[in-house]
Amino acid sequence: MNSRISICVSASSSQLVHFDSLWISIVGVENECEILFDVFLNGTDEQNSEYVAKIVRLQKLGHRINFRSRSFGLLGESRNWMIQNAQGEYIFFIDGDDYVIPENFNWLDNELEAELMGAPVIVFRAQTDEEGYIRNWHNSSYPSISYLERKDLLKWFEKNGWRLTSACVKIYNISWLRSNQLEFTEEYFYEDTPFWFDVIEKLDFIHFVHVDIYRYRRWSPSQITGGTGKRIFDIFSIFSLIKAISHSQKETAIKVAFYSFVLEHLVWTANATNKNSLSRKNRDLLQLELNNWIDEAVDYLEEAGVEILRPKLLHSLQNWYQNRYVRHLRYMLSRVKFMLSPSK
Amino acid sequence: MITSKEISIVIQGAYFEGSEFDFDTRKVIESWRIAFPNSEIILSTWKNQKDLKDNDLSHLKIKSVFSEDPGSDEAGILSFNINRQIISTAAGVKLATRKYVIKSRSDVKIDSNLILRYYNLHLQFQPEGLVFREPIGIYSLSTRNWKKGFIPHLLHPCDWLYLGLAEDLRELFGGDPYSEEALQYFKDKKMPRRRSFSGTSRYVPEQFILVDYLFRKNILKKVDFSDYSVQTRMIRKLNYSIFKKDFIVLDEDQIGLKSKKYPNPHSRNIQISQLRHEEWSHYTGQKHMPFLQNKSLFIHFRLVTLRMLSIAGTLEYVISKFKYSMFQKIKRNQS
Repeated sequence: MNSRISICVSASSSQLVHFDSLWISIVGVENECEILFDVFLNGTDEQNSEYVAKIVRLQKLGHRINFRSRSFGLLGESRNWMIQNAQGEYIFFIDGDDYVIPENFNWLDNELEAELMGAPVIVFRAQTDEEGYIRNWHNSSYPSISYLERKDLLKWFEKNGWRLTSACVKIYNISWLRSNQLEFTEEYFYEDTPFWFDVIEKLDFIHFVHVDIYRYRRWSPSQITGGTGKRIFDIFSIFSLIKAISHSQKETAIKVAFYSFVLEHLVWTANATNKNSLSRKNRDLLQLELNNWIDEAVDYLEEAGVEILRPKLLHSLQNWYQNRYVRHLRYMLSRVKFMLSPSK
Repeated sequence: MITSKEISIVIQGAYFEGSEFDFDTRKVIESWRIAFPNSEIILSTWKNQKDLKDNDLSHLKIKSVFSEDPGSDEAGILSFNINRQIISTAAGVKLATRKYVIKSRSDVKIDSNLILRYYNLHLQFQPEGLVFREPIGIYSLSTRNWKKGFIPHLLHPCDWLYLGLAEDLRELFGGDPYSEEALQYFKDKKMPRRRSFSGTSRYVPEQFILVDYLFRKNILKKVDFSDYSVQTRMIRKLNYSIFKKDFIVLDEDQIGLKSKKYPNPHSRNIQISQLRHEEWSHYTGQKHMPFLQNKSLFIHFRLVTLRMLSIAGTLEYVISKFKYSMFQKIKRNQS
């Protein structure tokens, strides 16, 4: 099976420090198919030229590499280019700062080819590499069975929340993607989330394989989704995209899963946002968007009779902006108290 | 919500190679492409500029239009580029095929697409304009506050950035260039007694674009606005109505604009007469943000502080004018 997988790497030249370990892991996969590299040149001039030079050197050594570099464009555009240009039967995405576990990949090839042939999507498990400390990532929220029909998958999402959105840790059937015209949004960050909703909308069944094949480097300096003020608002545009998909479906399970996902992700958004990256007006705008989505999600879930977990947390989220002032004030008062205390 | 697929971006002006005072225009266009990936970008520049056919910008997928450079406009001791702006913007907007247009300068970068979120937010509450079909988003940098400053200029939006319907911007920039007669209007006439503008032109450049449009629409036919210093009650009322219904004033952090010409738009010297977003929201009642709704006392305090700063700036200006005139008198007496 490996011989029919196109391994697609979306990298940026600022991730140069991870190139060697990424390449060693890829080359360990017994893969006769091609490797696609799409490099975003966002580093220094030296990093840009060195990254390109490394790939060109590997091409000259005889590796089947299809390579493109660009100076703008988001990850969605990169992955769409790979879907259009990959020549294998299956496609597997890797980010430039992560790596694969080749021995598990090769086990997959030997053991499961007959079983998995023809599947539109195969989902694997992943680990996180936290500066050398390896942890399992998906175990607590991963279905234990290996084959699910669509309706059962939706029930699982309804119960567990909308999971497994990452486009990595999955192998997709390329002709199935192309025939269903599935593509990533090119306008926003968080492009894998609406793509996953689109995939679920179209598929009839899905395979889960209980093998770790991917490692995320959790603290990679190039992890830019979440904290940066410029793109934090993209998540709200993504919600709007997914809302359109979920509301076009008859199943209530998708809508419930969507709004549960919204609430969960808003908590993450508020906690992950670096307040120093946003001006006061932009923090205000973020609060407005948070409140609008919270109100909509809570209204729908209450109407659907779904229990909302941690309502106090939601309340604090709706006062996220004011809470930060209150926390700052409390800290200032505690400092004053400390300075005035006689025992110091 | 408006997405970048519905937008044409017109970048007008000279093509800069990058210096201490200007960003490289290539980097400027890249910044717009990164912020608005699916938009149509049009570079409107001059025929005698560098040859762009050498594929320098082909990876950015832009359109280009080249016009004859009319040169700068001389108005007494001052020199403007208003006609350059009108001609190049008109040429660029004419080529735009999308529903909305953002017009910007070739020496100003952008680093976010937040302007769309603010524009959409305000459009929900004010979907129609008074003189335009839909309101136009503008930058606060040189938008004059009619309640602040030494001599507040009316009908004075900043001309650095416009975001609006393509049809509206085509009409706004569809007039004739600033005539020589209007540029030398005060050459033989007595200058207004109270003025903060030293040129001989009839209107301040930023005013001219809007005023010319209002004349063409016959809105200023019955109202006296003979020159930039007019401050009648009718004009003040018209100014307020237009700023309330036809403009959405946004600050630099809401748009994400970066400029080497004004690296610090917060500076006191600029804020002396600037109409900031908070002030515009407060004056026109466009308080759609939670902070503005809940913290009106704080806003009042900020407005008072800004007003005091502007008075201080005004006093400083008056004192410096007085000192200069005394110096001139002494020099004359000595000679």
